[in-house]
Amino acid sequence: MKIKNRKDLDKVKDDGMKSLFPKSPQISISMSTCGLALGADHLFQKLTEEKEKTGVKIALRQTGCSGFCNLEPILIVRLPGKPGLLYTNVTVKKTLKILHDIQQKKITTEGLLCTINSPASIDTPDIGLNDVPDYNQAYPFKHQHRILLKNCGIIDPLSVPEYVAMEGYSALYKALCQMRPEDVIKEVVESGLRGRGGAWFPTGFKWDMASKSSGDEKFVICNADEGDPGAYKDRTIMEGNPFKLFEGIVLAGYAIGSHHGIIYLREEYHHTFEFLNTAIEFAKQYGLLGKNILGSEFNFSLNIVRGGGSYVCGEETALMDSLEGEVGDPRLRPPFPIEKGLWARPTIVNNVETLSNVPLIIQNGGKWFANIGTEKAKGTKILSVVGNVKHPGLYEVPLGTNLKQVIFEMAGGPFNGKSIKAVQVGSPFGTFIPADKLDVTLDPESLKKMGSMIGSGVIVVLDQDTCIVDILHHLLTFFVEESCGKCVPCREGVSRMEELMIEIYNGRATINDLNLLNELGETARDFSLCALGGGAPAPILNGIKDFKKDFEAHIKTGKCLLPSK
Amino acid sequence: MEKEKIEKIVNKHRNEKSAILAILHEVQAEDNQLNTESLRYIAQLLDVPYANVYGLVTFYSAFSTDKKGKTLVRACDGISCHISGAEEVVEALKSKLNIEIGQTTWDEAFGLEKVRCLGLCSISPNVSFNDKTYSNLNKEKILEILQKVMGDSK
Repeated sequence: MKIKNRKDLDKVKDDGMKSLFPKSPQISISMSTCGLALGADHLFQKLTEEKEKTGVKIALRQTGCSGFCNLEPILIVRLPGKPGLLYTNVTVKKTLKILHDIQQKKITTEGLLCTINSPASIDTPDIGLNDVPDYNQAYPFKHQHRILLKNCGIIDPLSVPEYVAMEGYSALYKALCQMRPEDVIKEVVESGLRGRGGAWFPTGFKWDMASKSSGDEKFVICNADEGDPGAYKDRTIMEGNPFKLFEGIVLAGYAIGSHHGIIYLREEYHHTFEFLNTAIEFAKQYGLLGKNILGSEFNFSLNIVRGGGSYVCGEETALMDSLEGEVGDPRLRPPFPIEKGLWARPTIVNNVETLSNVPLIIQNGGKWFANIGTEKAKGTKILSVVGNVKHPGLYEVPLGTNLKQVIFEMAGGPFNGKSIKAVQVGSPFGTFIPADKLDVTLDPESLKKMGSMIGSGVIVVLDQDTCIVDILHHLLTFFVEESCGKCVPCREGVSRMEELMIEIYNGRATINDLNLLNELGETARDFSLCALGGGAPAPILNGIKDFKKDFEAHIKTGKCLLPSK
Repeated sequence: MEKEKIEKIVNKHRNEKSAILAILHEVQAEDNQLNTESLRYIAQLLDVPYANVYGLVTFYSAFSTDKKGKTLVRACDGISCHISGAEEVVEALKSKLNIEIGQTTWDEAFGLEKVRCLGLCSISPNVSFNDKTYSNLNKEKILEILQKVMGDSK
């Protein structure tokens, strides 16, 4: 059915509540890329077989990625009149036990991480569940401020009704019925939202300029070319709650006067591509994309274009080249995309996380959003904490949260009683912050003072057994592979840096070569055309300064300082 | 690849802008390669210079002018996988398949590539076999998986 008015929206919301709080037992399995990698499909099949064999009346459904792939496969059991039960790291055996317990009207407590509470769902508190924490109180969701990821891993990501039941599309409905495009922009400006892909550009300002650009055709591009190794927040949003992203994209279109959106998705996300295409079909069926959205006069179409596996295409002008069927070469600016972007039409390019924040801002107001975070950095940021930590995963925290708190309190610190050697913050271009300087708040200004950045929110934790020379060498090979080759400082400079690094790694360099490496780095940093060549030297230059011992050991002996290597 | 098949794919995307990447993806998915004949025909149908199409295929790492393996093995070499032992997994793959990165086995059953980040960084190292990904790997696990996949593909 197409949603045409408030009544229709309420009806769909009712349907969503019914499936989230079902009258008969229901099991949902997390079936995103990560769940599938750890056997969710096998689990689903086994459960289906068991259902057929025993004739047990139980509905099988699915959820998406929650950001904690190491807890997969994740299973949510919903029983009438009880809170949802979230089980982690389930196996076929454990799942069959859960199924049999449901038949016996028992609750399995083994593997039960938390309950998912909702006042509407509980008739009487269950005494057996007294010791089980609620979602907000359980590791790893505790201490987080999940506004964007709130429903990821909880709702069925392909169910429009379930998203609507969680207040989805109320922002778009509000905007289309009660707000002029300039009112939408005003709220976004007031929120202080900035680009979450790493560039940190004020979103409202960009939209305002694009709305004033003249042109009969404009484009909204969602940058989903999530290329920073270590980052997977955009994948989680897309696979966990795609309609929130779509809602944000349509809002952006309405605000700037565009009727066509494109999601540029990175090539490596195969499952996500199929998944998003299915989600778009569902959105069309409900009248949330296409003509007369939510019964209004507003039309908006959305399609997905897969990239070709090139990191530089995450840069917005290279991305547009790629969409035009060219190789991804960054363009000189001006002209800026808001004047002459895709096919020389006014275009805005926003990251997945940025756009997904917009429905929240329109629904709750720019002021509400501006109250989260710090004086200058508003809202939350999804951090992808990976590497040598006990609990890697996606942590959504208000901007301005302390880095140490994230690593130790939330992610549990390094394992096996080891100590931390360095932490890379932001992206591959982020510097490696030494262990004694981790007491820093996560906001662009504080990080900039340390020569670092918030970037796309990757936090790579390296323990004492890491050789910085090895890590920097690994990084440099990445930059060399991904340089588009257009400008000399990046094409030649970064390649020479990599060659020198190999010589250093193998003990064939002299201490003077470090000066040469520095000089090359500074040149590439200052004279490259885009952020790839300009950003690549930062971790190297800082690494030489902060971890000189590692370099000296390699130069002198051709070996790491580490006993194991 | 047969001209009719290429025509079918091109016509499907005829009215779309940004179609060429999608066309290349689909032709390669069907034929495991983008050889000169296919590229020339695509260029002709789209009325763009052959050099442009060839440029795209050589620029984007997802495309290949050489025949790729029926099963494409992509070992993740992102930072998280690197830290958690991707090298050992890659070495095991190389020695078992008896090919280097970027090569295809003699019977064209397997191709081996490195990718930077499959986006599964909290369950690394990761390797994907076509669309199926395996996680939390080490040398033993990948050899076991490979054994099974090789058996299945026979």
